[in-house]
Amino acid sequence: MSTVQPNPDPAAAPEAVEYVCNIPPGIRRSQEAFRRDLPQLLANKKLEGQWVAYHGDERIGIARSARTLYRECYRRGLKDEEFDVCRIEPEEPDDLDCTPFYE
Amino acid sequence: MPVILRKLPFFNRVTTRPVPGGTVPILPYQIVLSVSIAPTGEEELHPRALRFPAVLDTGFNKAFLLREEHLNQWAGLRREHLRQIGEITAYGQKVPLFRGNLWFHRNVAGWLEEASNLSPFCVDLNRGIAVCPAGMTQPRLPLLGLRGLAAANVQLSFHWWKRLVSIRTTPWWHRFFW
Repeated sequence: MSTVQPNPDPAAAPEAVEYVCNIPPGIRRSQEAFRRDLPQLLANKKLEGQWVAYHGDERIGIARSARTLYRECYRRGLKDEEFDVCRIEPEEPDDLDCTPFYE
Repeated sequence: MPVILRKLPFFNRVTTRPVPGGTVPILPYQIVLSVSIAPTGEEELHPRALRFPAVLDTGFNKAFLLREEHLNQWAGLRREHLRQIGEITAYGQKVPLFRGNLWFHRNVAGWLEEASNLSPFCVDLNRGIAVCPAGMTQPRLPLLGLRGLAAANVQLSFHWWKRLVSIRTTPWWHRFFW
């Protein structure tokens, strides 16, 4: 059995693949609706930490578990790229570098 | 209060863990969970889903981060199997986020060995699984961050002298005592 090196040689790393952002439009629209509603959702302290599902502008529901909402979306016949399920909590900017300290 | 990991040991010396194609060194005081990744919507983890180690890193403020090689070779998935829902910045580069569930494999109490008679525990990861594109050489091991634990709504307890960690689900009545 070979050993995987802890710090791989960058020269030996697989060829870099140019990253292209590929978020489906249906998910983007759902996220925009979530961001639009987030201040109002956060204003209700009871909702913080719960989950909310959107299909475009339509709010599917709010639940304590994400799985409940995924089930509801699939029950409605929605495809994976048509909805999003988000946790009700303050968002942070995407461009804030979250590099882990050690690994 | 169901126990997910029961007295999982961690060590004060360098150890190794098996991964597909070899072994990886685990550093002292790194807590390593055995996990699998699956697309959302799967009510049960496929019995042949690959298991791989992930380091519990409470200093990492996202849910889960791994390299594309980990996803392909250790998790047995390709990014095409998962739906992109966003992106983050890590190691100075844009890193895509994919929708997916993480499954924790339960252990035999006091041992690293997995309890084959206990079903794995599913975590719906908010804002998904971050996959560093091929060519990036970090992170060395997949990382489970604090948001992953928050999404799982679990409690951690440590026995420092014996170097054991337990992870339990949080009972509904717990919020009344905090």
